[in-house]
Amino acid sequence: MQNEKKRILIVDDNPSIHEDFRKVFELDNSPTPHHGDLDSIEIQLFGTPKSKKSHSILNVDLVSAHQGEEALAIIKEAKEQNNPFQVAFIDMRMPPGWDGLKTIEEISKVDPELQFVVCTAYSDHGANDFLNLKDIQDRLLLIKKPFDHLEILLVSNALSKKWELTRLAKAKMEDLEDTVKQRTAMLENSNRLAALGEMAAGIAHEVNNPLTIINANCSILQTLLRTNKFDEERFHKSLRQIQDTVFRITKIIQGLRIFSRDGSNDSFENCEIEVILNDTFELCQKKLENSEITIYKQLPEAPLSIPVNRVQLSQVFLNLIINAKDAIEEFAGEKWIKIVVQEQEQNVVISFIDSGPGIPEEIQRKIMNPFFTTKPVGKGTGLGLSISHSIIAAHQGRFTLDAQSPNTKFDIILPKIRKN
Amino acid sequence: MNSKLSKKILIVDDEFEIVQTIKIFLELSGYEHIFEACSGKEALRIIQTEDVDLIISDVRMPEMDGIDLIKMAKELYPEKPIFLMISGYSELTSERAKELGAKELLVNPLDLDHFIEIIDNNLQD
Repeated sequence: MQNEKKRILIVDDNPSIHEDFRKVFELDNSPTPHHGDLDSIEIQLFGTPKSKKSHSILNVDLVSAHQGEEALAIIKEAKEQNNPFQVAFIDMRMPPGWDGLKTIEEISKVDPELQFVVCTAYSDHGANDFLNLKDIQDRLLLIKKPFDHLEILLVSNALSKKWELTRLAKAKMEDLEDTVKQRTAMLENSNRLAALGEMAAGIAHEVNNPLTIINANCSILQTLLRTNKFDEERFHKSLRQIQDTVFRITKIIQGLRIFSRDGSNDSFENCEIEVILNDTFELCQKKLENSEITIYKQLPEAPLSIPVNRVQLSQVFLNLIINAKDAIEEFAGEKWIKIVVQEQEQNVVISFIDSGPGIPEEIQRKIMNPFFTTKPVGKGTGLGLSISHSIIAAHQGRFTLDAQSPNTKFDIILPKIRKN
Repeated sequence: MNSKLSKKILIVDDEFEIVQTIKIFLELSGYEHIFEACSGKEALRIIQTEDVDLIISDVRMPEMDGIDLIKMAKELYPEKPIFLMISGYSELTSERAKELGAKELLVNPLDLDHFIEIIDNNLQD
């Protein structure tokens, strides 16, 4: 509210009604009673008053409109100037223009917060007409003419207060929504970092071991040169191994660089699913190899590009791969993770299937809940699947567990085209 | 040099390229009897058939890791020197490695001058 005055609009084709309202709010237009000598004495004793005493003890800004169309224009202007009205008292019959109901209907399109009081001696409308104004049932009252001044005063006070509280509640709700949004982003971030942390030892292995290969090969080359034992084949082999290993490290760093960024504000861009899958696998390949898990990929022949948030989608992929690995690595039997990417009409379906026996029925419903985990304390955050679920929802897709599959199977269904 | 020639070193790592590179590096440094194993189980078989003088083993390996290997090898041959290799400091501390009976804890990427120096020192007659 720009000022603290209550702004009240009176809409009535009868000028005398406007006068009545002014009296209710003590806004009488008649001259202030002059007390002659008494005033002179007051000025002599206390000096000139700093401000002229307001006619209203209620601090009300009362505005008049005589037709519905005029009222609408006033409300529009007030909204534009960020100086809105709180309450409108509206007559029902106002020839030749809109009647009260039509006026309310039109105004509420412009100002969805304004409180309405219909003032009428007789209504041309039945209960249904009032009840049909569905969007304003919580802010519509009716007072029969001739009205009681106190009734108008109290109704206006109560509705102004209600208007103010509704605004406060709305602002509070917006604050809360912002906070939830921020916290969700923080949770997503911590999940990504936790997933990265789980991979950290594997990543160190992935980078440090190749460095030993490079270092040892450099030393081998130096020795070959120093001792004149020029073994051409060995020489080329070492050089090739250095190049291959540098390439291998580069890929790991590339995967890390993509993954360690906070991508929540990234825009959606067309990316090849296969490229994102490969980048994600670069991060965990060694860990999967160590656990003797075989990876099978079943991809369409032509590359599939769809609009995605690349960082966030790799986060979902990594969450699913880590979950699958944790679930099957202790198994004695076959250990595999299979990724199937296929087109289904307007969607692309990416399925993650592992050799595990599936998720027990009693916990299937809980797995998408935040903080639910079956992993030992300190191993899982319990956020992976719930965050994956919200990331896929933000992609306008669906993230589901296929309860019919004999193995554990998660499906990510993403639209080929993003709706605005 | 002659004493080096007779020494037998076993390298254990599930990563073939690491084993191969270290093997060639050690050969060029004068050691000719280098044995390779890609798992703890394979290493145990070699230890039991060949009288190796030194075992250098990675810690992170599938099934039987370096820690299991050192425990079993120490039971069979308590005096045999074993070096453990890790890729990240958090995997294993030097104190823990010593408790397990490791003579040295090596961190990848290896400092090769230090690497050959401690091998030479441990294999001196």
